[in-house]
Amino acid sequence: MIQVERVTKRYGTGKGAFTALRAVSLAIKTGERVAIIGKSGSGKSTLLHLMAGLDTPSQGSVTVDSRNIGTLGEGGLNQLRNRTFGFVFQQFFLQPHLTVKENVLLPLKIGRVGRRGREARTLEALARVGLSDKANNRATDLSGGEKQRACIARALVNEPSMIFCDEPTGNLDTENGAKIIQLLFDLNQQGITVIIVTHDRDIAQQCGRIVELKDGRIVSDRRVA
Amino acid sequence: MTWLDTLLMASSNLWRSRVRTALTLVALAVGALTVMLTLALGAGAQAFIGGQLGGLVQVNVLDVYPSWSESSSGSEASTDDPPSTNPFDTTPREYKEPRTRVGITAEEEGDSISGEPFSQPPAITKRQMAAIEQISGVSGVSIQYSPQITYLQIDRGTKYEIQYVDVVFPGYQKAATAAGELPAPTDTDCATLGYQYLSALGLTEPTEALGRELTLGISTQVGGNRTRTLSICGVTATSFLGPSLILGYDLAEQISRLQDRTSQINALVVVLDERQPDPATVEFVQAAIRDQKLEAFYSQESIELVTGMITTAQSVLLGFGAIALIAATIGIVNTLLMAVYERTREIGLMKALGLGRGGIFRLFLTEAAAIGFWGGLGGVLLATGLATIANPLLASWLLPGYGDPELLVVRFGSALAVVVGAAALGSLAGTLPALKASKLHPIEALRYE
Repeated sequence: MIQVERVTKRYGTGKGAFTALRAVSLAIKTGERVAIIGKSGSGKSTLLHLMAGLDTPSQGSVTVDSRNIGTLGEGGLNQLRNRTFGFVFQQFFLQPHLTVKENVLLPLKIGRVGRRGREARTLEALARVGLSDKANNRATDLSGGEKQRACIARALVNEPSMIFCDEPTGNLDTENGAKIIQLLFDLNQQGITVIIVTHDRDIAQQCGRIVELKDGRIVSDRRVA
Repeated sequence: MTWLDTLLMASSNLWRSRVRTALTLVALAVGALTVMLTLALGAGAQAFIGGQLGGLVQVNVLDVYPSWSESSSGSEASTDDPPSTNPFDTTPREYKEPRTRVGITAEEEGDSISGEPFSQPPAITKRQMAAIEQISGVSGVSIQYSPQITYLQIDRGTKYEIQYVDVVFPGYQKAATAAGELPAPTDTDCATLGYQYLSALGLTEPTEALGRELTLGISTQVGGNRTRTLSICGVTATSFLGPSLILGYDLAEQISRLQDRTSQINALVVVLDERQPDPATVEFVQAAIRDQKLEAFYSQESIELVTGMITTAQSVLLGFGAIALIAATIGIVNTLLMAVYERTREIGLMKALGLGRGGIFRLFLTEAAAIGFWGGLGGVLLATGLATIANPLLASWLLPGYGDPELLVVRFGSALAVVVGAAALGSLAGTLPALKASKLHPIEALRYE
C-alpha cells in the first residue's frame, strides 16, 4: 500500500525553479497494476521516484505500508528500496563487465545476503524470467529483450512486494516490449504490485488502472475493466 | 555490502580500466621503490658498519697522543699503508723485498738520509702517564706499541704485505673472531690473522687457518731483517677496515723493543672503568687528559660521524621518495575522480538498489587503498629484486675482500611499513573521490550522460 498525500515537488530555487508535481494525492493498494501516463515533463517519472523513495517531496508525504518514508532516514530508506521495492529502468543499467548472474545478484550483495542464499535466489529469479541458460553470459551479449528480462530478474531477486518500472519498453521493439509487459503482468498475478510509467497508451490500456498526469497534476485516474 | 564484497568489487573495478590502473600503480611503485631502497640502504649500511666497524671500536677506550705539532703518530701509521685506489680494498698484496742495502729497509733509509733537519716527535712522559692513571673513571693506561711488521708468511709460503696491526692491550674487548680466539695480552707465541688473508691463502673456512705456522718479517735498526715464528690461534671476523694481524701486548712490546721503538712513548691507550661509558664520563676524562697537554681521541666518535653521514644521505633520499609518493598520490586522486565520472550511472543504480552513502564511500576508498597497497607491494618487490641483483655487484665493486656484505637490506618491518603506508596514502587520496561519489543523488546519477 502506497499513500501519496498532497505531494509537491519543486526543483531549483528562484527564477530557475520548476515545479514538477503540484499537490498530488494517490493511493495504490497492494497487488494493483497501475500505469502512470502523461507527456514528457508531466511529472510522471517524478511521481514514480517519490513513491519509490528515490527522491523526497518538497511538501506532502509518501507512506509505504503505513510508514512515512520522509521519516525513515537514509538507512531505513535504503533498506526499503533494497528489500521491498524492485526497479526496472528504460536504460537497463546492467553492468557490462559482469555476467548476467552477477548483475542480478547485485541487490543481494547490497543487502548483505550470504553467499549460498545468493546463488539459489539468483538462479530462481533468472528461471522466473526464462534466462537460466544465459546466467553466465556477459550482460553485453544479451539482446534488448533479454537485457530487460535480466533487469526484471534483478528487480525480483530480493522478492519485493512492489516493482517500479520507468518506461520498461522504451528501448525495445513492439514484440519484445509485449513480452516484457506480459512478464510483468505475470508477476502481478503472483501478488506483486506493479507500477509502470509509460507513454505507450496500448500498454496502459492493459493495466488495471491508469493515472494520467499533466503539468504536475493528476488529470484522470480510472480503472480499466 | 559486506567488507569482503566491497573488497572484491573494488578489485574487479580496478581490473576494468587496466591501463589506467597500471599506470597509476607504476607511479606509486616507483615512489615506494625509492623509499624502500632508501630504507634498505640505510639498514644495510647500518648493519655493515655495526657489524664491521662495531667490532673494531671499543667504546670504553681513549687513544692518547702528544699534542699535535709534528708528525707524531703519523710516522707510525702512514708509512705502512700501501697506496690504494680504493680505501676499502683490503685484498692482501704480495710483499716485495725492497732493493736496498743489506739490513736497512726503505723506511729507515728515508728517515736517516732525509736532508731536512731531523725533528724529534713529541713524546709522552711517564709523569703524564701516571697522572692519567689517577683520573677518576680510568681503569688502566697502556703504552700503544706499534710494532713494524714488514710481511707475513704462512707455512713458509708467499709473503704478504700488512696493512695494520692491532694489539691486545690489558682491558681489550674488541673484535669478534670468525674462528679460534684472540691472543691474551701475555701471549707471545700466537696471533690472530685478518680474515682478508684467507682467500689469498686459498682457504674457504676460517677454521682451516688455525694452528698453522705464521712467520712475521721484522726489520730492526741494527740486526737487519729478522723473523718471528708464531702459530695462528684465531681469524678475525670479516672486518671493515679490520686489522691484518692481532698480537698480544707482550709480543708487541718485544718486537717494538727489537726495533728500538720503545725509547719514547708516542701513544697511550686509556681504558675506562665503565664498559659503556656515558658521554659525560668520556668528556670528563678527555678534559682531564687535555689538562696534561695531551690529546685524547674517542674512537666512538668516528662511528657516529659515519652513521651521521649515512643518516643525512638517507634523509635526502627519503625526501625524493616522499616527493615521488606525493606525485603518485595525486595520480590516485585523478584516477579515482575519472572513475567516479565514468561510473556515475552505476553509482546511481547501486544507490537506487539501496546501497547507502557509507557503502559507496567505502567502495571507492577501498579501490584507492587497493591501488596504494598493490603499488606499495610492487615497489617493495622491485626493491627486493633490485637488492638481490645489486648486492653482489655493490659488494665486489665497493667493498672487495669483505666477504659478501649486503648493502641493501630489505627488512620485513620496513617492507610492511612501506606497504601499509602506501595503502594509507591511497586511502587518503581516495577520500575526495569517494566523498564525491557518495554524495551523488541517485536520480541525477542515473540520468548522467
